[in-house]
Amino acid sequence: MHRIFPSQQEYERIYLVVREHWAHLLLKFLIWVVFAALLVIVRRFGPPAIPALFAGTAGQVVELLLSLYQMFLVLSAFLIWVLYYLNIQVVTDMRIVDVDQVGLFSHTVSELHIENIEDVTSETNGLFGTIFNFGNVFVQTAGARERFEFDNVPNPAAIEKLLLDLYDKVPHEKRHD
Amino acid sequence: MPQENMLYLGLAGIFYVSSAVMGFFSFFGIYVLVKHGQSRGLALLVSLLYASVFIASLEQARGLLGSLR
Repeated sequence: MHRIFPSQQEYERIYLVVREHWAHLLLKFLIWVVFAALLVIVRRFGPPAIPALFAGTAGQVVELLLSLYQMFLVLSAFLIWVLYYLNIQVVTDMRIVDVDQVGLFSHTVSELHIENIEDVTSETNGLFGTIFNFGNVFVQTAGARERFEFDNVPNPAAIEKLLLDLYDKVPHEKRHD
Repeated sequence: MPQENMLYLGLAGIFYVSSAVMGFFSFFGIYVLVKHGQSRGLALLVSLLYASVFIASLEQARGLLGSLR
């Protein structure tokens, strides 16, 4: 069986697998593009503007440093995508799973059973959030971790509704309210 | 020691230290992606693509360092 998170059961029904909205990822890549543009500008306009810096040994030194900068750009683009790809939230018929990859060296998987939900709030903030319909969903819990957060997810209102609908299906004797 | 040699050693130091640090983060990024990624096929594909671009950039930088010798 292909598992999305480590403790996934065979009989568990997956309702939603969600990541950060693509517009948020795009925003990060736009910042990356600014740094990449610096490299292009230096390579394109550097030699005519400061010929002494790009000729002879000095030119080779500058080219070497630019190559290292290029390697750094490639690495950072890769890491931006890896962190985007590995941060997911999963909603199943039994629980909410929050997989957090904070940097390369911190991987956390938190789970919340649907019957422990106390309150769900969704919010859409800012110009881009309103235009592209992404925002945050906060799940107040009765568990050890008091609040679950889905950050910058697409269609937060629909996720809020899904969670509340799943909670409504929980038998009253199992609820923690 | 001649000034050219000092310059070369300094640049070689910068090159090898930064390559080692970036190589370490690259390796760990690929490891984390393959280990925790939902689709192993996609993780391997992206890793291969990234590794080929990164190694090409590394080779280019190494060639430039070699030409300074």
